[in-house]
Amino acid sequence: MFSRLSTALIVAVLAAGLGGCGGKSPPPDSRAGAAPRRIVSLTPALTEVLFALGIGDRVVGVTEYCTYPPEAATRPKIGGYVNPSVEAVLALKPDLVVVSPGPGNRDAALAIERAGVRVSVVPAETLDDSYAAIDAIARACAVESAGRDLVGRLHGKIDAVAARVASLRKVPALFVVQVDPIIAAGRGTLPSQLLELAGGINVVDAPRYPRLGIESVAAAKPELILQSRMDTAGSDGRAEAAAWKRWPWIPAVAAGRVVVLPDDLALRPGPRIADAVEELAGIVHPEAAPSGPR
Amino acid sequence: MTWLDTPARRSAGLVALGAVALAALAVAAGIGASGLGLGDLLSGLRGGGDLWSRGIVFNRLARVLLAGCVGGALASAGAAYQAVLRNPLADPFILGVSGGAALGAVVFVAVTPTGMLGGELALPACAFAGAVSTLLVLFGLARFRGRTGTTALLLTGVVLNAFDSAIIQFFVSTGDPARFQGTLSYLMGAMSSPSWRALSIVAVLTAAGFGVLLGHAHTLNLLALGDEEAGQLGVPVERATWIVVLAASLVTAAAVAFTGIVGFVGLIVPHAMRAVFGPDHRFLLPASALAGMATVAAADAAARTIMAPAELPLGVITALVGGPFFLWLLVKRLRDS
Repeated sequence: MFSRLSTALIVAVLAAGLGGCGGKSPPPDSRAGAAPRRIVSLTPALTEVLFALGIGDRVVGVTEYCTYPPEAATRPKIGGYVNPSVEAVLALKPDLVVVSPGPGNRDAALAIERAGVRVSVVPAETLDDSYAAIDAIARACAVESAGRDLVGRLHGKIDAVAARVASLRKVPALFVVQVDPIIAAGRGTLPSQLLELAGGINVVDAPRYPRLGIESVAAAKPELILQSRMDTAGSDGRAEAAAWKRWPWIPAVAAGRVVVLPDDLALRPGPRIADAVEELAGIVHPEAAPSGPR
Repeated sequence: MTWLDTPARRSAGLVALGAVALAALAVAAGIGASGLGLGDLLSGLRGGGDLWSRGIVFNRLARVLLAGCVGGALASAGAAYQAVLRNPLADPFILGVSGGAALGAVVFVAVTPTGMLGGELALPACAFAGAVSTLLVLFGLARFRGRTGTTALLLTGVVLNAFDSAIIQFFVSTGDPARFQGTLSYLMGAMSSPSWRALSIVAVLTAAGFGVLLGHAHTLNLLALGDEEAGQLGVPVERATWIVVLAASLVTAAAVAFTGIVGFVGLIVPHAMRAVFGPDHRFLLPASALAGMATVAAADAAARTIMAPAELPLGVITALVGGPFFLWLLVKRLRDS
């Protein structure tokens, strides 16, 4: 997971010139007239955006990792997130391919564009990206008002949670994406941004997704460790939780505050970021949850 | 050529090297991302300090001792391989031990239902089994008409390494990428803090293998002359070769199983020590072990601290420092001769 994200920025810079419709650029006027009818998504978060905008019925192809909403998983698969098959995409005869720059998909995106298919490159990594991605996809698909509504709803929901925890003490927390070796969300990453909206404060003062020694973790004295699933398909989370018991001298472990997250919401820069903030707030500040801890 | 030219000087050199190794371990145990130092460790050992600081310094001590074991294992194994294979490029990984260990680790990750399972020893045990089974295949293949040529051993080892990494690539490219992140870091040397139990296993295996190698120091001196010459001098060449290869592979497998592949140490340290102590394995083996301890403990301390709070893979440090150093050594030797 982390390597996809960590290389995404570099690839984003490289790929900036390739799309007809980049994340923050105006829509291409020449083709704005025809709203796409057959869309292929090469990125799970963008698949979620398409469905949240109410145009899931136009999605004709997704990656193997596009599992939300459940309906998305019923679409034909075009390969993985890092290794999409150009041929499988073209065989679906799409009139729009949406992709977030990631390792391994740049060549595929270029090849698809060379074959004459409109490719929309939409960065999806940080919180701002998530809003911009909704905007960009809404414009590319000519459903601008649905995009504005969705962004407005997300802002409203996140602001409400943030207001609820604003007066509470910021809980020093660590968001771990992998435990062996320890890879944690650093400053400015999506999980870090969501954690801070939810009333926590990220103890990692390094950018991106650094690999941390256990001593650095202990030195930062986290009071809460949020552990995302290493393998959401097969893991029940017990192995990850047990792994931390090796280090009972870390404050969060000593206090029994290692929480294995039930899903990967906080790692998805899509329309569920508000749900992620809600979920994290319930864990960081269970005392402030509207109806007790979930 | 050799800096220490009499046995007395070499013995004194060994003692000095021992002091250097101890100092390196102490420095490594005294620095870390938390800012706690040797004083905190000493007070922790006397029962002082709180749970938090004791946890940090003991955890660091275990890691430093593991680094020492691994360094000693890899460097002495390298010296032994170079002698028995009569090839200056031989290193602890050349006969496929590393490929086998990595394959064992990858198979473990691929077949277990969750990303990590079975406690601390499960993955190292699989890596060790992978290394040993690669060795068994090597033994089976490299024997030809009842005898083993060093060329056959080397070529078979190289092919096995390539074959193992092909299978690894197959698993990694067909599996869930998130699941193999840990394994990929293993391929670049993933030193972490072991439990005392794991540390004692590595220490015992390393000490046992090293003892066998040291016991064969004189045999190694004769084998370095060539198989025929050694045979005429009464060395049971075939048997001695296998015993040395087995012992060196055992210590390598123990090291690789816990820390992944830490490159260059087994190649460079023996070469450097040969320049200082000369080719006599009675000195070369212990000198390599001590220098290897110091080298890996220092490299690991650097990996832990220079990018803190982030940590670098140990193999990156050893290769970055080791590559240029090896070239310097090579150029110097070519100029001298």
